[in-house]
Amino acid sequence: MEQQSKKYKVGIVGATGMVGQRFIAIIANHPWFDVASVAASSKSSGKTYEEAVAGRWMMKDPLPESVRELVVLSAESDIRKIADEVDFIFCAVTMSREETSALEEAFAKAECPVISANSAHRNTPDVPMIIPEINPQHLKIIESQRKRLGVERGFITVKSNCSIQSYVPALHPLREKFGLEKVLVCTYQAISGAGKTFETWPEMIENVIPYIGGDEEKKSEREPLKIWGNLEENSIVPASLPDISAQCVRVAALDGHMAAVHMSLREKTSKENIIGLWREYEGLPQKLNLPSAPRQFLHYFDEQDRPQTKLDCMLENGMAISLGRLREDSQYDYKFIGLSHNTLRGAAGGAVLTAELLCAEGYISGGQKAICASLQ
Amino acid sequence: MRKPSMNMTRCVGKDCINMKTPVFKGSATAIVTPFREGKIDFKKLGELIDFQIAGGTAAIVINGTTGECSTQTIEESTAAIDFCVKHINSRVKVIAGTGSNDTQSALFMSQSAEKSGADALMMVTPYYNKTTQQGLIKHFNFLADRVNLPIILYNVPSRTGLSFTAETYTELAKHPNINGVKEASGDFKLIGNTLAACDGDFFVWSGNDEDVVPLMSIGGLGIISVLSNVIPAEVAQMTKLCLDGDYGKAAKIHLKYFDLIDKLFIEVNPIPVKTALNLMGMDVGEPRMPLCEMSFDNLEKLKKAMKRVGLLIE
Repeated sequence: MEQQSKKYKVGIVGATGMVGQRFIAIIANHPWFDVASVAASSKSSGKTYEEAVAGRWMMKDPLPESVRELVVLSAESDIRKIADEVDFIFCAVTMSREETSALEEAFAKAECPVISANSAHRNTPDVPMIIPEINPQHLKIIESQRKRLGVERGFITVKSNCSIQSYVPALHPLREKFGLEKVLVCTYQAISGAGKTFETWPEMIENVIPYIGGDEEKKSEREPLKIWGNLEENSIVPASLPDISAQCVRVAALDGHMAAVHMSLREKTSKENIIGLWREYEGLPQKLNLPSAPRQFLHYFDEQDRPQTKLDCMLENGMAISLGRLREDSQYDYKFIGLSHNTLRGAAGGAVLTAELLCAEGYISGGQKAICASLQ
Repeated sequence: MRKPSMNMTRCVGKDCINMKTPVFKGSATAIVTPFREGKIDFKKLGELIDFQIAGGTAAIVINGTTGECSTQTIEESTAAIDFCVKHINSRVKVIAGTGSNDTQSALFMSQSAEKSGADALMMVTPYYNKTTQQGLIKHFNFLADRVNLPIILYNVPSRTGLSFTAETYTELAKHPNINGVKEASGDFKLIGNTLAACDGDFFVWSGNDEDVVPLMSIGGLGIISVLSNVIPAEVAQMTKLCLDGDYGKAAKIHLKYFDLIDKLFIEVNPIPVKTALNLMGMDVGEPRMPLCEMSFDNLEKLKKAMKRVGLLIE
């Protein structure tokens, strides 16, 4: 048990919701992290976690023994207490944009690092939006964010929208090597992205809905530009290229967002070069061998009928990106299909990987330093 | 989230993995091993695995009895496990059959499967030479002490000639690496006593396709199935209904396929299931000697059962 005490102590804020539950389930088996504190709305606070999720535990695995007896704190009034108890928090709340934004800042100001699954701070210029394999260099902005907040240890990072994780990873190495001018993308998004199952959303059975609320298409067009943005002194300045046009469609799939992508490159290249680049691409999480990192980030399938949502979205525990059907196009240079797991890579899994990166890179202190040391 | 091998050594040993989380819930397929010209047909094995994953199968058991582990060389068994781990690539769990009636052989195969990156091990009781209950405890604790993976025991007295007692299960459940048992004894008194005594520390999966719904209704977590080789989606759906507590609907599916289950065991497994897959056009080849082709009469019975559920067209 001595080893347990060396783990990073993690707080889950918004612990009773679907994303919060997924964090609990993932961290139950995590080699570096232990859930030390759970918080939710005042409705749940004061109850044990087991009582608070009674009848609404939605994960496949049973409620982990280690969290059953934790007393749920209030996300809004116990900030100081939570910040004192943990090394950092994952935040996944269902509050308004303004409330979420204020809550996350309050945690950061209480010297508690926040890894957010919410969208409130995605446009804040000094809050990095991290896909660990693509833009780990953006973590450097944390220093100027800390200055703005007047803190030493606290900060906020956010994850991107789940829709873009099916195409931005594939486009990234091409953009770096050949330059990327224009992208047209149509996403085919699973219902779990809306927090639903076929039992709770029967209208989706045998159906396609050509609209996803919450400005999904705007997010799908704008967020990649922040991911590819330039790191300047006090902000991340979004990239100006590529031009992206997106349509987002809800389809009758439970898990896994697919994207059909058309792209034009600045420098022309062959299909073999593109596939080679994908297969060889390695990000920092692979180099550091982080616990949640897929061994191979981008998998290209040669088969004509792959990747398939149901067959392939769990590749490498739902953390790898599957690609296929790369071919020349009459209007753009090339077109291809991408697929990612929206609730793992696209949400909780991606956030946990970001937390691992933050620990390994020294942005979060505490926990098992020996593990991090062994990574260097 | 756990990755095989590399991280096992990277992280702080057993403590970072919760060995007492069920290896899987729902349907696992004891997959047949396809042969072509005397060798394992890996391309076909990959197709069979993808057919399983698309159907909702939660885990693949490689090198089980259904996979004809008894008539494969060590090199073939190892290659099959290696292939399975790479091809599945953490989409579902890989459970490697590594049991033997020789403790040292079981240890060798188990450590080799761990190195290959399997997620869990399935180990049958020492068959033929057999042992005592004390011997079972020693054998499995010895193996569990020397691997870093969850172990599913396998009780199949009709093939092995010995069975666990509930007391032995309770004793073995104390080992952190022993996760549960694939129970094919059909002995509900044994299973009930075990579930009652172990209280969430030891999981039970059915090893008999005809026992799925009854066993899950008293706390079993699923099936390691032969039937799912031919109808993965239906078996996965049946177990999902059971996990959701809807036994009435699950039983309807179960009973629909009862006659087919019977005919899949009309001759020694995996003779009929391989024949059925071949009849469905899957081209998995013949089983290896001493297993042989089906008798004409039994083949007609199997075809009839398959037609009745729409697996073969009249």
